[in-house]
Amino acid sequence: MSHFSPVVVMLLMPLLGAIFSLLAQGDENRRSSNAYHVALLMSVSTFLAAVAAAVFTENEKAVIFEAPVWNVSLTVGLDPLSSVFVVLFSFLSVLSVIVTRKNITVSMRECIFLTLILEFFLLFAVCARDLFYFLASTETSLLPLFLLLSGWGVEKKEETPYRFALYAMAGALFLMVAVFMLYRHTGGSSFEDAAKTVFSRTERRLFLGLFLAALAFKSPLFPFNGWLTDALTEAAPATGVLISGAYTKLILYAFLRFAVPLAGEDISALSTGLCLWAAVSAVYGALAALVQDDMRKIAAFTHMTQAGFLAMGAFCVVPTAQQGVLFLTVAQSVSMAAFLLACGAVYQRAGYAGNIVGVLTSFPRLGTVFFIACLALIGFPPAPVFTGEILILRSVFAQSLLSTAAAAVAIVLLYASFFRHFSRFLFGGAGENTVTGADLRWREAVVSVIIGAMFIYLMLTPSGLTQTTSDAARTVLTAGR
Amino acid sequence: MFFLFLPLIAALALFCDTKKKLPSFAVAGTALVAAFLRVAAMTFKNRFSGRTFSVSLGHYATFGGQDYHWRFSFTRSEIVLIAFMIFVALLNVLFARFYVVKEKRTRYFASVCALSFLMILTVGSVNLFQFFAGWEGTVLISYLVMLSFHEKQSIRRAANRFFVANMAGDMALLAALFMFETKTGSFVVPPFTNGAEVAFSPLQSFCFATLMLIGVCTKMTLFVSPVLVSEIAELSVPALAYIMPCVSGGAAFYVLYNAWPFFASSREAKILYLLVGSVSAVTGIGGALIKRNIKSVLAYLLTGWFGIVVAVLAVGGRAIALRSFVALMLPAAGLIYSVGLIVWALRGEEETDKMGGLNVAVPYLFWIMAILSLCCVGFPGIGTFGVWQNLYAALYLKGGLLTALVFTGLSFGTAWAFARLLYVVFFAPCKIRPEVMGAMLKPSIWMIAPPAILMTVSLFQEFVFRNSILDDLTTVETTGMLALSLAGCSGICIGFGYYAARKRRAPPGVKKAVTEVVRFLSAGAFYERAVMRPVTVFARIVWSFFSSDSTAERIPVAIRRAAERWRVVQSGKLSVFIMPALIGLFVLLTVVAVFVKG
Repeated sequence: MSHFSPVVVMLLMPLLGAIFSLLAQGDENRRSSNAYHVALLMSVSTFLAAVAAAVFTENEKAVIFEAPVWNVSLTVGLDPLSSVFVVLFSFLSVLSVIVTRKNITVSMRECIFLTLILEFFLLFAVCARDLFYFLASTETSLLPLFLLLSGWGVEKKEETPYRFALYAMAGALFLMVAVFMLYRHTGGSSFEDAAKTVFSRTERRLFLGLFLAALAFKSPLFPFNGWLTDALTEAAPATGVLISGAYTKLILYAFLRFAVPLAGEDISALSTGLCLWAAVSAVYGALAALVQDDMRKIAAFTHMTQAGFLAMGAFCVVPTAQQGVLFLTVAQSVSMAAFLLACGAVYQRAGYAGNIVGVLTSFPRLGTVFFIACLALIGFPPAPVFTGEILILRSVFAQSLLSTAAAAVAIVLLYASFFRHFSRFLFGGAGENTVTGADLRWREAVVSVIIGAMFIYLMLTPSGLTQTTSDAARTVLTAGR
Repeated sequence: MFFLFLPLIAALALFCDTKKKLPSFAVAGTALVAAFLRVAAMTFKNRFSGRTFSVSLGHYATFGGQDYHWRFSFTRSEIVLIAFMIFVALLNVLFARFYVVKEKRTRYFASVCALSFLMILTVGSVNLFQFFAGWEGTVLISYLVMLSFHEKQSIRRAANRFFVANMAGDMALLAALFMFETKTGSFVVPPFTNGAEVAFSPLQSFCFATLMLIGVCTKMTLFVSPVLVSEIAELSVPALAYIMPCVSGGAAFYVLYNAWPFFASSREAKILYLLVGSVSAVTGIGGALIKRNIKSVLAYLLTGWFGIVVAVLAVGGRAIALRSFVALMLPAAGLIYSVGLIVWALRGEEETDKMGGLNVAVPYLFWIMAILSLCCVGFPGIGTFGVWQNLYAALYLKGGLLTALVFTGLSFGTAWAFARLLYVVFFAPCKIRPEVMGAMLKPSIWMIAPPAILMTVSLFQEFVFRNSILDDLTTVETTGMLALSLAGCSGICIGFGYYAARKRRAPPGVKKAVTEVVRFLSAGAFYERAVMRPVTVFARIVWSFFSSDSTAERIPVAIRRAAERWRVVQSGKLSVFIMPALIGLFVLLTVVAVFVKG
């Protein structure tokens, strides 16, 4: 183990970026501009460093500091599982920073600072090789998110951030108890120690129950989804991207990291019931989406449906399903980012009015981007979400026909909820007033191109990602043995 | 295989050409001609050297240790289907050049090119991922065509229903393909799976066949499909002529054709297919007999023919089904173009009640439609007679006399519907409004060319088939078969005579009964009442019970107030608040961690 690694460099970058952006001075415009450029530079560098670290530092670890007296060492590292999440989070952060420039008009410097701090904690959570540092950074990431929601929410709803925090902390409580239980049992806090844990059957069930509760609150699954809709509709698009794509995925990472290796047998034993729960959650999300009129709310419930799919995959302890979970995680996060950003751009032009019609007529380019983002989000073939769903559904099909049928119903309902509104939303009705304003701006075009390139990669030849997810799935399934 | 990508390139170029600077007809036409020539070359190579074609287009991904590639693989049946589709697409572009208004022409040509490429992608696919990309792509483009050409909300709702119903069917198809995967361990789709590995039990065979049927029923607007045929008929004529017989029908038939060997031994599956096919055929014919919209009449007839093809598949097997599919769809496309010419000449008039007496104004259209109608029912001495005779023979051999008689009845009904159509359009007393009659448009030779070409091909279909790459059918040419064939065709003469001699309309009771039967068998209204409304109501109940607003009300008031106060405090001095809060929380958790570790 060394004290230096690309992982350390990668982790330091957003932190440095956050500090530098806070030091930006001048009038409001200049301050914002400087902070933005610093943040953009650092987030892009972080992404490149993350890719480099993921490619070149397989299973490498670095000790940042050690205090043998207190039996404490801060160790970070990457394995195939964390590589997937690190690259994903840093990519989403780049997108988030880019769109912040146009979406945020007040206190942009602080907003960017919080975004980078959030990125740091997210990355730290997946790179940490110590239970408590993982827990600390996971839960600390809640704070910048809370502040971003309360300070830069689009409609300034009072209760949204608190509701979000309440649910998140409830999930955190279960996660904390589970981690403490793990620590108490092993006597060590490193992941290596944790992997060697042998629970009794009762303990294993309790441990699994705690993780399931945390997953249900944070992912979220039915009926613990009260925070999701408002958080995603209230959050600025840049924040929504990080909530949907990164924050909610952290708990999935934790589940794959700890629950699947240590309680895999119990998950398998209970998989029929668990898959059904996840499928019901997916159906609920799709049903709720069906009766919404606001595209942002539909997106929020789509997230819930896909969280159900991800949970279903996580509950099938077989390589294809685990690979599907990781693939869908990446695909869904990128697709949701594309959708939230396109949707945000449209709603911003309409002044966040509810009844928007004729987007494709008024903004041909933005409308096209929006339409493609919608198709990607709902997993229209050959969108990458479709591939992920197929891998998961195939595994669930072998275990529970009922859950597969429910999942299929959820997919159809999801299509119905989107396509119910498409004709009016995109083309407008005869004689209806359409939205007006500028078409795709250059910054939006840049983001569209970046995401489009990512889509093309994921759609046409995602061999690199499938190889990584395959390795990661193997890591998950062999960690406890 | 580069030429097969030309339709895609053309589609992308035309979609991106928002300022309409490209010569859209030339671009689309060239791409389709090139693709057609390539497929023709493949046909000849297959005919003379038995060669099949398989080209890898690139690695897609590895799942479960199995490599998947983007690939074009064409065996004999795939080549036939592609040749048929691109040929009709080519005629479609020619027809649409004059039919579609200039502002929408570029987008329409782009859609036709995209559909052609997506069909190539579907038919040439080896694995599930590529197959679904093409399969769903055709649905999406069809949906967009429906949306872009109409502003009426009712049609847009129909488009939405068409799309969602297709998606629902696709879930069944997906489940069927998962059944394959559980046997083979890979996502390779038929016909490229190893048949020996897929040994379904009788129950599995039946389930597989049922799922496949549900998967294709929306595309073929069969009996169980929730899509209303009259809604599909709202498509513009060129779109209807390409999408219904070629794209939707072609893709669906391709799936059934390849799935057939895996449930061919299941008697129950065959009965199911025969039932659904026959009921669909009856529905289609019934609908064609009562509808007054000329496009609806043809759309219903198409449904009837799809039903006949499905039933033929059940009874006669896939070789004869393929032949009857091509034999029916070629004249069907020609008929739709002919109807399009009538609608165009009458400046958009689609109601048969407002037509009549057109044999004087456009006599050549009567002859084209009459010959195409005769081809559809296999009139002795012309193109498809041999196909129908073979069909009856195969049905007789495999299903017995009763089956052959049932099909004779269906053929008779179809012929009767044609007689009605031809009579009310061309020979009934003229009811065209004087202002329309005075301003009637004269179709150019280029507009007449597509139906005329299809008529010619249909006329010589037997010759074409005999020299094509299709398998020869085992035939029994007996007097009985000839009699059955003639009995089926006689509907056109008897029907024509009936309508000419009829003094007044059919009794209202009869018409109402037929309407009710068609409505019931169409399943669209049933679907609306039994599925869509309950689902929406249920969704609203679920939503009102579990919505986030109602959840918020359950949070204790004290907590909500405290939270509000906290928000007021921190919102004033944000930047001052952030750093200590973050550092504090992080340090706190770290200290707790250290403490717990001892």
